Amino acid sequence: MLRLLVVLTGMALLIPTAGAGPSSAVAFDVATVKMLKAADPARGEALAKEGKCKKCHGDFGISDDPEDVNIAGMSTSYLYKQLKDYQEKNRDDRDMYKVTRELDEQQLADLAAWFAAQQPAQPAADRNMDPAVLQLVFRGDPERLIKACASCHGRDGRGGQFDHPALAGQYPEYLVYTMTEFKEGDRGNDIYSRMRVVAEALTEAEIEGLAAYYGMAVPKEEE
Amino acid sequence: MSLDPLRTICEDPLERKWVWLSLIMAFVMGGLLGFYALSSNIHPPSNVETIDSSRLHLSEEFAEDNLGVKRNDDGSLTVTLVAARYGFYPPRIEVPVDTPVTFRIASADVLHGVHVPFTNMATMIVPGYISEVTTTFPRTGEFSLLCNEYCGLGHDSMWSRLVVVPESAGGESS
Repeated sequence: MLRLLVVLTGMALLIPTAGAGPSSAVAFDVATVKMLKAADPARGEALAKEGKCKKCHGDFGISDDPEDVNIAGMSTSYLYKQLKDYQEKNRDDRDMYKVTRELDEQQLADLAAWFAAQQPAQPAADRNMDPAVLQLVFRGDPERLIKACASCHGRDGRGGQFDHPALAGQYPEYLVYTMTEFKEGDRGNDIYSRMRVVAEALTEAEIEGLAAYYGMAVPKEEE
Repeated sequence: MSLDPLRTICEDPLERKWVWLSLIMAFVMGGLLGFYALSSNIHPPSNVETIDSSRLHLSEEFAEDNLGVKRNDDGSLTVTLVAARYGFYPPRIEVPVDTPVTFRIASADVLHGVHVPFTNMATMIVPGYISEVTTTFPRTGEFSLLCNEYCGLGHDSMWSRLVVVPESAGGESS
């Protein structure tokens, strides 16, 4: 009996998501999908000006600072989810919390639609084509339970459905930063820990290699 | 004049014989299935319980902090799993050998299946329903949970780990 208790205690420790509450309150049910489809980019543009989004994200969603995320051309659903997660403190960022806390759901959707309609940044021309990195991108690593990046983020890295973001065209520095957040558990708004599981299995060198594959060219003055 | 009803659609007697043979085989096998289903009270393996897949992580049973292995009052185990593109969560579960284990699995997105090779654990996971299957693993070892219903471009990446440990091993992975 004692042994069985030990086994069960071990099992309990294996549950990786033990904690309070869901990692995100966003659910892509019919009502949410309809709201996102009806979102108005024009209202979103006005909100972006009012909220001074350009301070960090540039006039059209491409940042000047390699530490900030490029939001141009990401899916409306992904951007909406992140805004909602910031608002509900499921993704931790004081500045984003401040700018989202007063907005209602329709305004969040409008903002998301505006930035989703912008032209995304392109990956660097001399992107990292290391065969080991390409293996991770297109095949993953079954032994370490690492899925192929392309399976969720698209073969071109432009993102998948709902909450799978575009990776292509991000600054490498931001990609390393956010992947490290997932790896170390500082970011946990990925439902069912789908990204944390992968990031925890990746080494720091692999994360840097992947960032150099998906990342955009860093402007000279920022290097 | 022949009374063969197939004569109106088929002139060749040999062809009619083969059609009759096929029909008789289909009826015999259907009858056998019906007989065993009724006499042995065999049900389809599916468990008819509905759930909103789009709000799965906000449900009580499939909440993120409620997944994994739990012990029931009768000593059996229940494993609560979520299948989502492209993996099963939690991604690694550990169960003792020779112990009844009931898997309760729901999909967070599209149609999935789960199959553990070299065991009899297999079921479809249909969005909107909770799949339930009970089995006992007679051998220790490390097994893979694989998706066996095409679910998207990452289907071939959809796997996770099941470890069957001896009870006397104190819960350590083999």
